[in-house]
Amino acid sequence: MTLTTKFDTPASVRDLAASSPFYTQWHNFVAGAIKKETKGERGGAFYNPSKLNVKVVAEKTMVWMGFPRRVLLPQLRDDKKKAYIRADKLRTSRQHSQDEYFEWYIHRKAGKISKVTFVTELHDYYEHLWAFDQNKVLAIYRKFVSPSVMLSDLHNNGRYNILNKWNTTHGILHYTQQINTFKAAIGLAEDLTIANPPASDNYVAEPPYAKTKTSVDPRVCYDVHMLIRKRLHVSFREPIGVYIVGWDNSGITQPNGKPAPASWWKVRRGKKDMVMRLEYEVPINQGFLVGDLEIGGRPIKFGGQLAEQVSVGLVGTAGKKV
Amino acid sequence: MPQSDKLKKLQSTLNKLTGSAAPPAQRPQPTNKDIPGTANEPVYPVKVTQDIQGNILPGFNTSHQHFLFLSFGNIAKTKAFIRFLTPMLSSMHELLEFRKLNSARRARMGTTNTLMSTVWVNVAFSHAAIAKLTTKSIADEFGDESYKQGLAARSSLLGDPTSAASPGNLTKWSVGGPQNEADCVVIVAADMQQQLQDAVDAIKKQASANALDLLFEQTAALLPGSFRTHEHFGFKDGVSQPGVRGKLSSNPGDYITPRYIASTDKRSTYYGKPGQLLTWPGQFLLGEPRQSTEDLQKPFRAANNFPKWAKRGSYLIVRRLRQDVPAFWEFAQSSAVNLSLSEITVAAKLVGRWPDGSPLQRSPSTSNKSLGADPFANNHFLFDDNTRPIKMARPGQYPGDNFTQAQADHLATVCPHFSHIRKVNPRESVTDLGKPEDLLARLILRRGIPYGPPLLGNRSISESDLKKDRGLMFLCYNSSIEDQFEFIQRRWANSEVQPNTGGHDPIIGQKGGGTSRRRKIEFPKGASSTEVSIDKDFVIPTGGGYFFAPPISAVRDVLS
Repeated sequence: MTLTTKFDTPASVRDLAASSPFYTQWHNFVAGAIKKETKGERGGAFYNPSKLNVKVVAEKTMVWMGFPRRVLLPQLRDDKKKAYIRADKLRTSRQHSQDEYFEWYIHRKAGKISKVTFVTELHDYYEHLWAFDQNKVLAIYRKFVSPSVMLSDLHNNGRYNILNKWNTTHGILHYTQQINTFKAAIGLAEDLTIANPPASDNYVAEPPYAKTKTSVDPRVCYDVHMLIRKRLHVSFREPIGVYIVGWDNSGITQPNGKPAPASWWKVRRGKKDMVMRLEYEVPINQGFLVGDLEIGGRPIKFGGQLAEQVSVGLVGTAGKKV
Repeated sequence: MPQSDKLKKLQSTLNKLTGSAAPPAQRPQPTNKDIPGTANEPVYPVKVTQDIQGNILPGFNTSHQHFLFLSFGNIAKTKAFIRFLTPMLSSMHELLEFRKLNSARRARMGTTNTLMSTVWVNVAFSHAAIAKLTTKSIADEFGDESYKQGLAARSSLLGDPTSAASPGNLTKWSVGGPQNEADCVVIVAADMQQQLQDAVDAIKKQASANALDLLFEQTAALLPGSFRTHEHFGFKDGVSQPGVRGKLSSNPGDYITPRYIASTDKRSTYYGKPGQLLTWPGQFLLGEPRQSTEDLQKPFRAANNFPKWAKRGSYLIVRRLRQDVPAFWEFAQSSAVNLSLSEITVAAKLVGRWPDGSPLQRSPSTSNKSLGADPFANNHFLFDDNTRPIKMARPGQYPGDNFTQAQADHLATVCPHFSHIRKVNPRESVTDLGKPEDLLARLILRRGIPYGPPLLGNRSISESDLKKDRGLMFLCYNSSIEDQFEFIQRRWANSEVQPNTGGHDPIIGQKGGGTSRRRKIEFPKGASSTEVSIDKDFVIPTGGGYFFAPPISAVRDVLS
């Protein structure tokens, strides 16, 4: 097993030429964000695969639902409508509800949902790209969000603005939630490794973030803790990123009662098993909108109803130090 | 007529299946003390248990059952029928008392054939039926949206075939489709077939006399002999059920779900039998404290989104599931060739247990009939960590669980993530929900029973035997159809990636939402895996409904 010599961009996306020094910059960012080895108290570790040689024996995809769990549970367990309303709120601050490394934007026509765009892209990536090539960032916004985007819309005094209108009120390109960052994702694994209390199984383990009411935090920390209990060296699989790993088209019906085709889900950025931008839209020639469809016999009134159909994940690796 | 090659192959495979062994003669005794930390569990005195319909708790569990799916005619006459039926309704209290008497007689006679038998009857109503019997606004006080919509409206969401040509499409259902939704289902259960039939005939006569239309009826029975606890593919069924927290009196140790584990073992606070997770009663009985989604042992506030008279009733999901036994075994046989395994081993991987009920986790390479038969061992295993031995509170003459303990299968090579039992009950593994505790709020009480003539035990199967309709009358009770039954079916069984990646549930999973129904599983092969496609559905929905089983007093005082 060889060291990872270059951390790649999420989904190995190539917004610049492959030879661009931007990719070295990105590698340095990722390599610098992960400590070489954070040892568990009783063996095992979370490690940086560019600095420590580990023979990987297995991969584990840690999957969770895109819809933010803590909006619904426990307090709105009996009021899903309220939960949808809360989850759908515009992401105009960094404290919004979509905190499962999965955010969405609802497009409307005459008050009805016409499209929902889901993303798992890091704002870290765009901040780095901005510092390297502002016009490239602009080009990406114009391609995926709107041709009307102006460079001046994207920054405050030269500094990239995560909360610019094309990423909040007028569209979406990447995360804005303050939790949904690369460092926080790494921290889910690193922090718990340091505090590695003894445990025989998940019912008695209490890793940090176990009590957090999101899906992603307990998901990742319990799984990483479980692997470290086995004295395994754990990291994230290259290219490191949070991805949309699946979506369920079951139960979505057209106004005539027929099933909605699966092709109305469109991957816009990323690749198979590493999707970073997913859109759901009815083709214009159909004569109706997403808001005219039903899921399980219930009219689609909220983006959250579609968010519930989507699974998000992060792939871990486990092995033994060489 | 001689068997075709295909039939010979199926015959040969089924001949290898021998059913399960009898449970060990000596059992541990449940604790007769209160477990520390359970003081806040609700107490259900006789007055209350006499009002809860008994198939919810503890469940009929008889050799024979019969299901009458009825539609109302004249409402006044329907109410007369309900008044006729009400005194027959069997309560939780009656079933528990019967079981006590039966146990005492068994101990006295030294045999399981105690000569005691009776007939049980329960009833449940659709949302539309409640509206007909009361008013629409009263019926709409039920907050469960799925119940209000009905099974037919949720069929495509459950992954059922949407093509009208498909046998599982709701337009072809025997009952519960858009044109034949039942207003109520009457469940009649008995150990003696003639007793059952007499009761069914009497109820049908009254229903007919009161202008109810018998839309559909289904007789069902446990499979014979050593396959008594098995379903039609050949596997022991119903091994793992959730335990329900709560007590029957304030007497020490008088729990609804007996607690067998020594109080010195912390697992006594969350298991009834080893491996039987305890969950709060509000997960099944409306208005009772529910299971917290954040803590293994704590309750969450009771729901209140239902009419007051419905308290301690439960939503009943009925799904008539035809089982394509030849298709199941053909798949196992052809996969066995490709995977260099026996067809029984392949099938065991699909299920997560060997046909005799022994779990792969505790017996990875071969079945173990004694293990499969022991209810204090066959469900005691974890997935992600080594399972520790467990101490009984009162072992008595029970020889103990001396079987090899389960080893950590965190890479899911022994019991793959797609295995049916790992899909629908991931136990302590983390899932897409996040914390493992959330699983307890998803569990359902299963009360199903096979229907149709078995192929198991038939040593000369004919082509016409293959064509006969057989399957499972799947029944379950829960307090939230969307968060429990529907969740397990669509979020887990029907998903390739949830609760963990590895493929669809090969037994009950359905791939809806597209033109192809092909499912896939990642079959472990050494250190990696190989993708295996499943082109046919082995389990086909052919009817059912979403119903509500009210407390008996409500049937008497509100609905009649």
